[in-house]
Amino acid sequence: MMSSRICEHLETFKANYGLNSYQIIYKQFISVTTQESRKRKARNCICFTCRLPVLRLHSCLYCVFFGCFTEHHIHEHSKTQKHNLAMDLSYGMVYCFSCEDYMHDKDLETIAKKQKRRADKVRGVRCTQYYRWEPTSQELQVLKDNPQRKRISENSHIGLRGLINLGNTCFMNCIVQALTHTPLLRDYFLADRHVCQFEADPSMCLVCEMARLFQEFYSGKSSPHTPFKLLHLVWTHARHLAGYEQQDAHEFFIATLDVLHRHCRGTNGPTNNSPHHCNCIIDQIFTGSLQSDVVCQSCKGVSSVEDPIWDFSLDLGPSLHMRQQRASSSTQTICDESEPKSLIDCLERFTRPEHLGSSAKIKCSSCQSYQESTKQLSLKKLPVVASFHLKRFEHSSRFHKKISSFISFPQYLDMTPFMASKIGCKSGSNDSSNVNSYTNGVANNDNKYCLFAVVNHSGTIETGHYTAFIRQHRDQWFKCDDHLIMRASVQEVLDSEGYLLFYHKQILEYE
Amino acid sequence: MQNSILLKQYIKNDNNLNSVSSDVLDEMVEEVLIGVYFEVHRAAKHTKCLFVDESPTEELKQQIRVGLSMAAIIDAKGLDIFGEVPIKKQMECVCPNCHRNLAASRFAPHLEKCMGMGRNSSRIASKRIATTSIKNNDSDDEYDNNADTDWSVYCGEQKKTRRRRLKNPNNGTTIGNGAGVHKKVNNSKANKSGLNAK
Repeated sequence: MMSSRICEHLETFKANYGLNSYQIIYKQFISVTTQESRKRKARNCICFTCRLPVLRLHSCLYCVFFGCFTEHHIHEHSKTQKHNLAMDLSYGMVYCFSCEDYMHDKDLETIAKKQKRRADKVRGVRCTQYYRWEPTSQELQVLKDNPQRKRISENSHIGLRGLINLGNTCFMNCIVQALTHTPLLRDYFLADRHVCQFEADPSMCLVCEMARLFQEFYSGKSSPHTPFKLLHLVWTHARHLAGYEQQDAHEFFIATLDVLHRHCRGTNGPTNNSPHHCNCIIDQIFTGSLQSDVVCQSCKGVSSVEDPIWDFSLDLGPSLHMRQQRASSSTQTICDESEPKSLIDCLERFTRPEHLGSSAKIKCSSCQSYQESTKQLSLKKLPVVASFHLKRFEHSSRFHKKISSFISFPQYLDMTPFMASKIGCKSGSNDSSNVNSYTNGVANNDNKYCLFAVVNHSGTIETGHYTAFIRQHRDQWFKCDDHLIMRASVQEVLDSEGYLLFYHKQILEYE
Repeated sequence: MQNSILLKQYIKNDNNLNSVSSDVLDEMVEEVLIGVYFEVHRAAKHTKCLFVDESPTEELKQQIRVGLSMAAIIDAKGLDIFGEVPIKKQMECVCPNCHRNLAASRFAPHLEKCMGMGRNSSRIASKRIATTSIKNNDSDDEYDNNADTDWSVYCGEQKKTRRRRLKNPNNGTTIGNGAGVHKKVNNSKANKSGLNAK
């Protein structure tokens, strides 16, 4: 079908001369990056005939000649020299004088895209150019063979589905709702990107089951789904989960991510053996890293370590320091400020420098002795999806207690104040991407997040129930209570207690 | 070098500055517009051959219309988004481990025992091996019921002991059908033979 659009003259040129000259001209005059090359471009991009730096300048593909289009100087050159191809020096479009039109060529476009991306990177442009999707010939065939179309309007319940409670499995249902409404994860599965690594028995692959789950959610069925297979698979691959104390939604979330991550491995090839550094979709979406700085109080030497994380577990209640104070003093110190009231408070406490105390001395490599030190956590690499776990359940050997205090959380969250580049100790390797808040005068929105799912626990530890709020169609919220899906207002969501909070990066970079 | 000095001199005059700025802006806009032209040109040439559906037929339009109306979210008081009354659903499923049919709402506690994972599993397993009462499968129920009570800590209620008879004890493949089963339960058939051997 494309054959009618192919320029035979361009094909002949490519066969005879290859793609080199195109690439050279593109690199020299179009995707320039350095100040020197820009100056050179400004000086040299002049029409050879009229000696003016006019617009729509074209370079002959056969010889060194620049001519403008408007005054037809390039056309004249083409006629006299019998050079029938020229490329525009603004965008690299090739004009064929025999066909009398601009001809688009896949090979040349590939070169142009590559050079443009390279130049963008050098210039520090963080977002890659977005190109509209174009179907391959196989995809075209699939579309033709399957004429049924399903349109998802803003008022559609496609993508929403209730889940049957299998016997106090509301903890699992909520995590499933959160995962199926994680935009990048949804896109991955709906684009059919998973290739199963379980050669022996694909029915045991949790990632395949996840893919089937997305199919169920987007089937348009209104009856609730019974996720018994999912439960069986998760328990098969994470045996530590079942049992007396393990029906916590957070535990289930982490265990599920872990199994999915393990089952994905091999799909994109692991970069190293570290569990969180493979290139699977789970790592791409959920993995971030924390920088842990330990400062020796004696020599002020800093020892930094970077740890990968899938979520942030945040302490509530009075800080360790406060608790120690209260324990030691006879009078009740009314110190409300130490208890966090908001997610931001929790994050501030999480990243606050902590004095490790005389009972927890660290061996300092420079002092060669045990010294008191402070430890501080900060965010090194931000995950695409930031999951926050508010530690509401206190476990002690004798009793379980739930902290039900209200912790407010925002709809939009900026993680900049908690980043290693802001508050952490500077290590040797400087990641230029996170250093400045402002790049080229534009605020770096890379650290901004948007809430998309909330898992709540209601009741006490003995009698409790999990429900979830999820965001669909950009700004519509729904409450998921096992098989019941109801519309909810954003205020309802923000007023809820909050146990697990899921935020998604606002700006996504296409890699 | 000379040119830049001349330019600086030239634009000291306000009128000149205005006209030069205006020219520069015009050039920038024109260059961007050319880019848009190329995009449209390419789209027109290229994607024309990629049209899968010719202009949608009446049939396709109708199909889409029906699909849209069927999938519309219901916003009615007292009903969920599917227009259903919020009542508890009675669903059934098949256990992937023992292939028994059971009510979905009882699946999780069943699976826990079926896979030999609950904290009582080992106790029950050892008791079975000790008593070895193959003929009397009813004894299963008692242990099952006791184990049910505290299987979950965060959700649901901790129910009191319940007496319940399993409808079909014949293919009883609850935990304890083989030695060391609380670690691994794979195939119910294999376990059965294990029990007999004991």
